[in-house]
Amino acid sequence: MVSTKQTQTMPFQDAEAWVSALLDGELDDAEAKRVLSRFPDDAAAVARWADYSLVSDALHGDAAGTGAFMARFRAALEDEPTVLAPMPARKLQPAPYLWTAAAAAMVAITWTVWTAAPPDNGSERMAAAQMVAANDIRPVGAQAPANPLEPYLAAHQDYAYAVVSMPEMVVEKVSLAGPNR
Amino acid sequence: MRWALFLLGLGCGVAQAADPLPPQDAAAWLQRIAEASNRYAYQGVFIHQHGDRMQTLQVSNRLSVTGKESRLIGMDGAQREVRCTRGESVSIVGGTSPRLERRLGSRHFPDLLPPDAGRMAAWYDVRLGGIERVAGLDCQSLTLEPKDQYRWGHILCVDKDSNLPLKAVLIDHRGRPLMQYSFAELQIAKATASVSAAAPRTRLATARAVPPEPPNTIVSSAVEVKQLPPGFSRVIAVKRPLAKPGIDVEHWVFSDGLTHISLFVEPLARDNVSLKGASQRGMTNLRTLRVGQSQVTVVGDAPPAAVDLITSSIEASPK
Repeated sequence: MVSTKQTQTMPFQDAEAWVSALLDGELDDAEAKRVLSRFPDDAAAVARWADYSLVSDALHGDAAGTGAFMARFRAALEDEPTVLAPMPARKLQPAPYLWTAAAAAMVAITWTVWTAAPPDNGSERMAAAQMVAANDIRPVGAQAPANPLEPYLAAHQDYAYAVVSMPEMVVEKVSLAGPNR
Repeated sequence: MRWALFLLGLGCGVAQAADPLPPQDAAAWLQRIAEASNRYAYQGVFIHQHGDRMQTLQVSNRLSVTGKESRLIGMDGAQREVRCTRGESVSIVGGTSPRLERRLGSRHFPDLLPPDAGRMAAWYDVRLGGIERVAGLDCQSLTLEPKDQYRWGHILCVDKDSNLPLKAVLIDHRGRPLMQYSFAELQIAKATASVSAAAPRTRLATARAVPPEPPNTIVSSAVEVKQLPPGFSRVIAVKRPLAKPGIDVEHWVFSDGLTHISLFVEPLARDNVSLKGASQRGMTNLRTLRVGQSQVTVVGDAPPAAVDLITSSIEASPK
């Protein structure tokens, strides 16, 4: 009935995976008994169990009374820094031919962001961020703001692929707004 | 050596000269591929490559009496897990203090095609290629070449038995790869009624059967999109928090089934500027601009023509 095309089995990826496996009924009785006995001594596993239960409830619209998880979630959300990246100061160039097109590029910016960036790891993102001006390459230090376009890219990619792999974007400032806008 | 190159060139020429499948056959192929993940349980590990970035993910697809349930677990980098069940999907990000985020979409590789994939034969020429080998399995190569300038092309290699995509490559109009997925290992279980019944009863499967309403569906908007690329329609329109706390952003998604373009609408920012952006190899295109009293951002994994067409047709809604 079941045609296994490749015989390798998939091991748990980490020590916490057993909580997930237990919740999903993937363990047999002996395994389940063994891992259940770990709960009394493992507060993190208990918390993970509660969080995974909340995931299940949220999937089915039963997430009322969200308890400690949502309290932590809200607190973490409020702690998130709101960061805006200012455009780098524009150096005036005496090159009039650059201004002939209505949509002439004024500044080119390259942002490099961390792949699969979890939103709570701002420092790593910031360290990775760099801005490149047309004639001025200046790596920005730890105080640099994160890429303000990142939330849009992440939201789009999360919808489109489930995998969030932030592309390196080259962005120009242009004139896109017409007279009727 | 020269002969080898000549023969290689000849081979490529023959491959390119293959005629597109008649629309009916093309639609049938696309439909079979789209249905594969509903008919087969599987688990495996695939690699996702985007630009110079690579990620390894574990995927499992389980069939139950209420439909399919899939899980995606990032195996490197930050801990991230996606769970999809009956059209609902959430991400869990982080380790000891996980963050739960609801996703708008519930599909992911290898389940890339929409349920009514056959209709996409109207927008893509489908050509059959040769038999290749991915993750130790024989697969049939297919090329989806767009008939217009509004979508990228796709090369799929689908398992000969199950039609499950083992590999998917997004290509530009010159055939250069922009993004790709490929299984490294995969186990497929034949799906029949008895297998469905024998599938383990999960907590998710036993939970309430009625799916929740989509969050904050939009009933009105400050902007209107007057024109979409052929074959595209609006598939999602919700309000969601995004970058700025306390401000919900409208997130619309337009899609032809394979190409997705997001539109974000929010109150005008004081420092509003118009931006035009593209990813390094041009796969992702972005525009942000002012329309009336709104700031709109259009992001799509689509050629500039598609993103520009949408951007230029956005107008402020009449009061």
